[in-house]
Amino acid sequence: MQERSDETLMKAYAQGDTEAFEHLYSRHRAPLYRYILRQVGDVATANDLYQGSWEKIIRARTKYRAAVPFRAWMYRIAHNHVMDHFRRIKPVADLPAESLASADAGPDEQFLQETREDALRTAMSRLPAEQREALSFKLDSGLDLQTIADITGVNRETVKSRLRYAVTKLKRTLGDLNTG
Amino acid sequence: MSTGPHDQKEAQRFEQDLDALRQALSGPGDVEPPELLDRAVLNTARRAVGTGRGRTWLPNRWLGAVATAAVVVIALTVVIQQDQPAPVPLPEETNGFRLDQESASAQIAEKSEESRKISARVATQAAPKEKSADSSDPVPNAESWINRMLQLKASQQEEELANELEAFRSVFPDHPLPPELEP
Repeated sequence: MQERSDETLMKAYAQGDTEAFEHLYSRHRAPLYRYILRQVGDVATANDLYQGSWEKIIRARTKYRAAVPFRAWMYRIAHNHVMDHFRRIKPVADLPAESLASADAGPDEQFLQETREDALRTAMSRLPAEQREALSFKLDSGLDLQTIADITGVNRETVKSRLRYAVTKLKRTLGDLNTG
Repeated sequence: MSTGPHDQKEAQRFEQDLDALRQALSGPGDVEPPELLDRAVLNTARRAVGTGRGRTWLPNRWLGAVATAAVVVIALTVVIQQDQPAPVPLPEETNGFRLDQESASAQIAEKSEESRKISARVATQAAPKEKSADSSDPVPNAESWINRMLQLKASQQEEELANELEAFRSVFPDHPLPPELEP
């Protein structure tokens, strides 16, 4: 049997088919969660925002039009929800500098790997919010430039530029870790 | 707009950088939402559509339209009923001792049951040839009514004459009667 598209599943759910929602949810739960976690940096807040995003999606089910790709629509809701969160609180505090300083500590290879990853995450959390978000959409959700542009309300070139800046900064961090 | 070899190389390099970052950032086993969170979301989804027991008889988007249509129908009904003309008060008498058949019936009906009987009799006895200038309905005429009563008198139909006299007086209380018909 041919797999139903996201758009078809969402329309079916809007008409009361909860099984359709379960399929849809299983497809998108992990990437959406990773996107949110990447934005806010801590699990408790990510959990809150993740649940809140899905609640908004559920509430908006009857307004969904199949002409709009579901993924773009879903991420747009999540993006707005995360942005509302950032507006309510002050910008996420920078992580302590020790995270980076500890990158070269310890002889164990696994520990080094974990430290390297921590350092990258820290560097990513320090990116400007719009660069971090664009990178997360690309890395975690696998969205293309145009979809990211649609979600964030900017043009494709701006998304490209944000991604380039983000990648360049993180590459520098990686390079520092490799040579450090 | 075509992309040159330089742009293509740059795009390739960019994708390689992204891959390197993806590998560096993704730890063992991708991060996923906790199971409790999954359950909470799915329960919310089921509750939102009525625990998923089936579809509603009408999609939500139609409910508003149906409600609006119902309101419009009710409003139109009220307006149409208000637009209907109120009944015109009937005159006691029309010109030349003539009464409109329906008007006379309605007016007399309001007064009493007895009057209504008399009115009906008047209507049936009205001569079809006698018509008012502005109406095609047959109307009772005092003179013809008197002639009829004179015929009853001549044929000695006393009981019927008495009934007719009573009816005549109800309709034309002041009309002079010939001496033969006077009590």
